[in-house]
Amino acid sequence: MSGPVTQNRAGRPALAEPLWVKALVMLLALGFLGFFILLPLAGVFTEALRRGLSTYWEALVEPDAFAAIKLTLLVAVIAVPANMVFGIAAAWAITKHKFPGKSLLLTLIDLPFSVSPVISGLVYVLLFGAHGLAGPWLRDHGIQIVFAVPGLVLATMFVTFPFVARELIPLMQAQGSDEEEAAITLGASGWQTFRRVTLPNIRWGLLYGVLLCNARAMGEFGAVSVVSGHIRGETNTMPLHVEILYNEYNFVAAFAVASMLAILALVTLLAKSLLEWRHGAELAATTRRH
Amino acid sequence: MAPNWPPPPAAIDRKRIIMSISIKSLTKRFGGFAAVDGIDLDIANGELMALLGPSGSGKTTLLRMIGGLDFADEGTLLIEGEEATVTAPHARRVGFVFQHYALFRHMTVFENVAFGLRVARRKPKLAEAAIKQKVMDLLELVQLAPLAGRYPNQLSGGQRQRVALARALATEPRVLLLDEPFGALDAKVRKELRRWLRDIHKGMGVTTVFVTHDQEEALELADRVAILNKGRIEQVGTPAEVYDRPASAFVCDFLGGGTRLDCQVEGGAALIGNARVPIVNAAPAGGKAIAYIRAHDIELADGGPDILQARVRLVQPVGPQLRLDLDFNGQVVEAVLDRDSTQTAPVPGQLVGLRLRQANVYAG
Repeated sequence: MSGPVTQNRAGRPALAEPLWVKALVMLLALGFLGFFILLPLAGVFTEALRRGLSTYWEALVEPDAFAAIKLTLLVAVIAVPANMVFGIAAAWAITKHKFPGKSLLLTLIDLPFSVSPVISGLVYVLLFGAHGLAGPWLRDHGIQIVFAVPGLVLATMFVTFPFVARELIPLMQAQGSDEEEAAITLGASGWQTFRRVTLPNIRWGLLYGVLLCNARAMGEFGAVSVVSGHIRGETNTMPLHVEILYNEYNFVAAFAVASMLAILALVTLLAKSLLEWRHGAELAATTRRH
Repeated sequence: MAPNWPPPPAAIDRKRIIMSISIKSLTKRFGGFAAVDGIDLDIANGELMALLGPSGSGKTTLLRMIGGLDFADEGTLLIEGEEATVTAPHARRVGFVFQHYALFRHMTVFENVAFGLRVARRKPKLAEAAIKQKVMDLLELVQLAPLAGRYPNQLSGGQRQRVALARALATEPRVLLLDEPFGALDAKVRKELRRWLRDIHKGMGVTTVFVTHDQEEALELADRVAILNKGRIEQVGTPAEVYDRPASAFVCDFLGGGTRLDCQVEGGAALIGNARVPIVNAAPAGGKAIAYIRAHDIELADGGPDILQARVRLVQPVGPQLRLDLDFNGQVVEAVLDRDSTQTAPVPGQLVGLRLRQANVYAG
């Protein structure tokens, strides 16, 4: 018994836990991760590849599936940059300026998080649908929003717009406006101040917000489902297409498309890790606090 | 710390203008509260001016208005004779050093100092080689050349302060403004940097205004001190003038006025208890008044005229000094004695005689 005790006195740091505690905690964390994340992920891929690679490939290049993949990417490509611009503008306005209605704006930003996605979709149907408020006018001018790509983009933007702003607001609040003021006294214009000082200071937060926004934009189901109309090959995004295939007992195809969604998510995460790894030294130098 | 000063920048060779900054009845309100309330102040070319006051006295707001970070509601501000009341900050050519330095955290020391040169709106733009030369000269001046590649949070507080100063000087400002420049530093570094700032000011001759709440700092560093209270200037003068002849009770109190005692003014002297104490300032002609007696203007005396009896409450040796808390008719009197020249130190409870050498007296 005296052995471990002297070892303790000899110099184990106060915060070091016994080996069995370490092992238990690690096992718990890894077990959880494996059961809830890795296992389903593996499940998706095994189901998708059950009939072999060629069936898997055929399921993906099948015209309707391919259209769904293209549509999902198109929606994300429009919605994510739009929300990036909006998120930066909102965070900038809220954290660097005082204006009436500021707290109202702050509350409104959270609205898409608190409202059910189905309602978010329904709002656009009520506004722009055939019997909606703007319906007759849109019909007379030959503009189709609901059950078409514009409706999908609108619903996706609505659902994903808090991500960037929510990520940036606390960050910019913590940073204050000292550096911007310093830039201005040194002769920088408003745009130079934003590009050279504000933007570099928030870029990691921005990247994270954009990634989250992108993940949700590609994966959104509820709101998109309401405005889509489920027209195969035209208004079905990937999540909607997965559901249709699944309901038709076409499991291999459903999982193949699902695996494609998972791959897109993994690529996004990989891109983030790669950026963090490449800029690791700078990141450590500029975010560590004293 | 005795660096070789580079030749003063061209900014100083411009045509002679007596007043660098001229402020007339400047007022700034936040809501209904006047943070700066009709201030007049002239700052001469090349002067080192301190704005001294407690928090909330309006000193930082005044500095920010000079720098163009806040704009006055009323009054005018001239910089080198040019109207600058509503001029944008970049057109004022001022350098501003922020209380917490506000260094660009994502830029190296070099890039921080180069920032003002890179964003300059002059044509043609400064060549990269010229920027590099200028930045390295400045980093040499602030003795941080070896740390040019570091990021701000890899520096100590004193180093950051020097980077902030080099950055502000890079654009060759007409006026250098510093907000609580030593506030966030520990005592030893603060003392070093004070001397160093004075040297830099001497070397470059740029008009400098700094804000502080530390009276010792203001008196030690500045050519002239403006003492602010509730958005107004109470007194402007050289450190000796404001210390020796405080114009108001507030100034006297703020500059270490010492003990405050009720007195009666009679025949040009302050009557405290039965003791007549010489008055140093322009006191009210007669009647009840308030006397301020500085701790080192009090000495122990065994006998003689104009002696006050007080009881010793606390004796505290602090370095070369002996600090006493005394009880005079229920009022606390603070005295400081020289430890070496005090043969027998008083003990708590002892009754001692006090002679007050002089007092500043103000209407109560």
